[in-house]
Amino acid sequence: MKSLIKKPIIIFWAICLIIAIFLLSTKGLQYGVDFSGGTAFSIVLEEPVPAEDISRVTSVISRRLDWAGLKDAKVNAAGNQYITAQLAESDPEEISKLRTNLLRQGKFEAILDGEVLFVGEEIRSIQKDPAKGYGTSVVDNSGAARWVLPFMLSPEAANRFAEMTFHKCTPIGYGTQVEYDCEKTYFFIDRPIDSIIIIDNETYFAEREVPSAPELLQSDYLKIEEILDQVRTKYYVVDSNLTTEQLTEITADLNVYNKAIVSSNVTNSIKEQLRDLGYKVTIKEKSKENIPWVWEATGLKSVISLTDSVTNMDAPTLDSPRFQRFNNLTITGSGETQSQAKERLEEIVVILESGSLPIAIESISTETISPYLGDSFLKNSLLIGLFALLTVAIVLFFRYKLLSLTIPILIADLSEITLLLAALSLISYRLDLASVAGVLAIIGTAVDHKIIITDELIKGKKDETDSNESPIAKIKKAFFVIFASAATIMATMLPIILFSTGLSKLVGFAITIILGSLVGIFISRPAYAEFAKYATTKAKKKKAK
Amino acid sequence: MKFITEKNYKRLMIIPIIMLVIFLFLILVYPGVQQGIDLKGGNQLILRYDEKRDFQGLDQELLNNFSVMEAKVSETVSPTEYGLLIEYSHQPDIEGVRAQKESLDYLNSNIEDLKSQAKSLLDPLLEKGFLTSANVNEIDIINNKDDLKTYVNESIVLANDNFNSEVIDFIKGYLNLKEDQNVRTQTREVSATLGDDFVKSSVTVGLFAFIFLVLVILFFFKEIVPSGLIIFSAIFDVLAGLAGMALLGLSLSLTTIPALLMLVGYCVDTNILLSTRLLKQRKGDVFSAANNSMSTGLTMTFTTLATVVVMMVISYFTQMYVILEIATILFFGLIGDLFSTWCFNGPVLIRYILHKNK
Repeated sequence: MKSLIKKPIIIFWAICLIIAIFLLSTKGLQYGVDFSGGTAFSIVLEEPVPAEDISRVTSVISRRLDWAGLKDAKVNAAGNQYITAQLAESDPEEISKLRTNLLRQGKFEAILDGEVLFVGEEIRSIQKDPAKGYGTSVVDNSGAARWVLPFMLSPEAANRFAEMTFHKCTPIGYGTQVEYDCEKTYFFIDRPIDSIIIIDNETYFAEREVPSAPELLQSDYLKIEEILDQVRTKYYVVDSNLTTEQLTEITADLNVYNKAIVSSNVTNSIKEQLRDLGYKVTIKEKSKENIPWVWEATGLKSVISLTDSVTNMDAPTLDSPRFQRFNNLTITGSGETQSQAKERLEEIVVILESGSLPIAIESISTETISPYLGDSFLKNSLLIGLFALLTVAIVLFFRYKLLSLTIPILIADLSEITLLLAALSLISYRLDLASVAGVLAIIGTAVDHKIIITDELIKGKKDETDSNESPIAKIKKAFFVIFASAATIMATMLPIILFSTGLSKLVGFAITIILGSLVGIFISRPAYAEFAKYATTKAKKKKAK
Repeated sequence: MKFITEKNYKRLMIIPIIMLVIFLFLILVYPGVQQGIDLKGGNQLILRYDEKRDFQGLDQELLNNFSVMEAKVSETVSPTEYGLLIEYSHQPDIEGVRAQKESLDYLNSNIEDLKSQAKSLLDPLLEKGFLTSANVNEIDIINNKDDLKTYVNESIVLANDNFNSEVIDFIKGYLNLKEDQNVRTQTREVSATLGDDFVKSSVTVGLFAFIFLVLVILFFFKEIVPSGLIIFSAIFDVLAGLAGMALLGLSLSLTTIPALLMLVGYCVDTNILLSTRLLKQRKGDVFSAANNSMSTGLTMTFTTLATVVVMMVISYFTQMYVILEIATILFFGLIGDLFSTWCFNGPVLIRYILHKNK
């Protein structure tokens, strides 16, 4: 036994197994919608996207599916024309909404004084080039950091920008150090210009003043009216019933608006009243703790102050030769730490880019599994695995009638499954039914290969011609068969990974089979061979005595 | 054990040849292997409930009421629950609008023209009740082309969702399941475009899998005849899997295609074992080598068959179709492999070796 434990392959096997168990107990397995319940979207784009744009596509799609990040959306590109997304949502109505959201281009607008300063389509490029200033830098010893985002506007938008922002800063302070207090611009996605907004008293009072940068600990405050004014729509603060004036005004509003955004505390009778008038009522709930309701309801994503450098403070009039039009602009901001600054910077990039997908969506396919079902799938998969191993044990025992061979085969098989699952956990693969089928199928080949090793070793007993062969030569022969058959399996699975664009289910199956084969032929099957060699020579010696 | 003997080995080859003919008949002529919704596009709905429901005639009702081209309903029973697997094709009117939406000329028409074009495009959906007039009237407030394009796309998606919920509602009504809070559902929709792409990439994948298989076998065996025999066996096993699918009415899908490919690697190990042992046999006769390999090979195949049967039985009763389909295909492949290995590969290889040694 001692000599066996010292064998390098056994040591290697044991180390791998310990790492695998550690990995499975700490990181664990991740489950796809098959097991966790939810919906998988398969999205086909109209044409392939250039490789450099694919991450933009996935980030836009994940924003469209789950702006607030509440539903644990996982969006991945499969090739360059397919996107798969998984989401913990199985309510058909919600799914239907999400499908429409996916198609809808979020409309980005930068607003100043309620007027459009520039829109998403007018941003020519976002220069993610550190040479042009893009990035974050630490500003002082406290670790506070600054971020800079340069971008370029189209000429018309640049003109509009220069004219609209002209002299929008006011000097404050005296002496040589002139400082400026500048007006704010508001970044919206899908500003609800066709809706009236109905706010209940409670929400209104809670949000009379809201932070201008909710994600920061320290922030200026804005009046709720300031935000609502940017939308340029009408809003009403209501009690449990509409007043007569409100009702007349809201009725008159129907000439201009046909939708109403309503805060969730507004009474049902008001909601009914609005519907009866002919409004399409959307109830907005506050979904994220630190984001004010009014931000969500209006689609406000960020508030950015102008700086004196772009407002032409030194040009007396628009006609002055000193008046400049800037195509290249920068947005800057700060964070308490560098990582916070980076996060903020990336968020603004997403907001600016959210306007458009470089390529439109051609079609959306979905698969929805209710969570209850997913849970039972998981239990039943385990059941199948256990029964499969049990069956293997029974068949093998009948064949060899030796526990000293049957038990090691089972242990080796168990270790192979453990290693395979650990490998899947390592690559953060989300387990689905297809990959479970792959794991079960691997049990079959794993056992087959161990039978080949075992039979090759014990063959000498019956077959005179081969009895002189050393165990090493026999194992070599067995491994020729094992390598050839594992190579065949991998050869037929590899094209699935290489050529099946977007077929996520196929890919999961193929990855599992290939990983399982690799783990098998390099770790657990050689370890078993060593074990079987030991067991059979011991059995022979016993016989000889 | 003496299965392959000097006397019978030539006769053995007849069995797999007859089987091959039967397989081809089952696959190509009757009943044939069908394409599933993964490849054709369409909708799938799985319902599970606690009490038995009468579903006779549901498929015909779906065809009549929703003018879909195809509808298929099959029941599954398990000790704990009842279930229905329903597949139906896309709604032709919606698909028609989807196909025609490309004809809207966004570049050259003005917005008012486009709006009226879009209205008449969506008209059939309004007529069939998949859109409401409120939906269609929303078009009036649109004032730019981008919004219109989005609106048209959204309307088609909305119509399709309405169609699907109508179908589901209808089915639940038919089965008296409307009040039942315990119905478990699983839905799947594959768009026609995605289906087309699946077909294309499946063909590429299949082709490359075959090329890789040939290369790997040639690399390991280096001789044409033994390699050719192993490749033949692999194809035979896949055909056995396909024949099984035809018999049981399983269709080609994203689940069954990889299972068929995997069958190649899964079954080919007994062939590799046999060929290796026969070709490396220096002393002694090929017949006893073949029969010795057979005892190992049969242990292998029967162990795997036993696990596959366990997979089939449990996944059938727990209604895990993905696993059931894969296991079923492996089952037929393994059965096929018993014949392709021991009745064809073995005897032909023996002939080849005897011939070479003469």
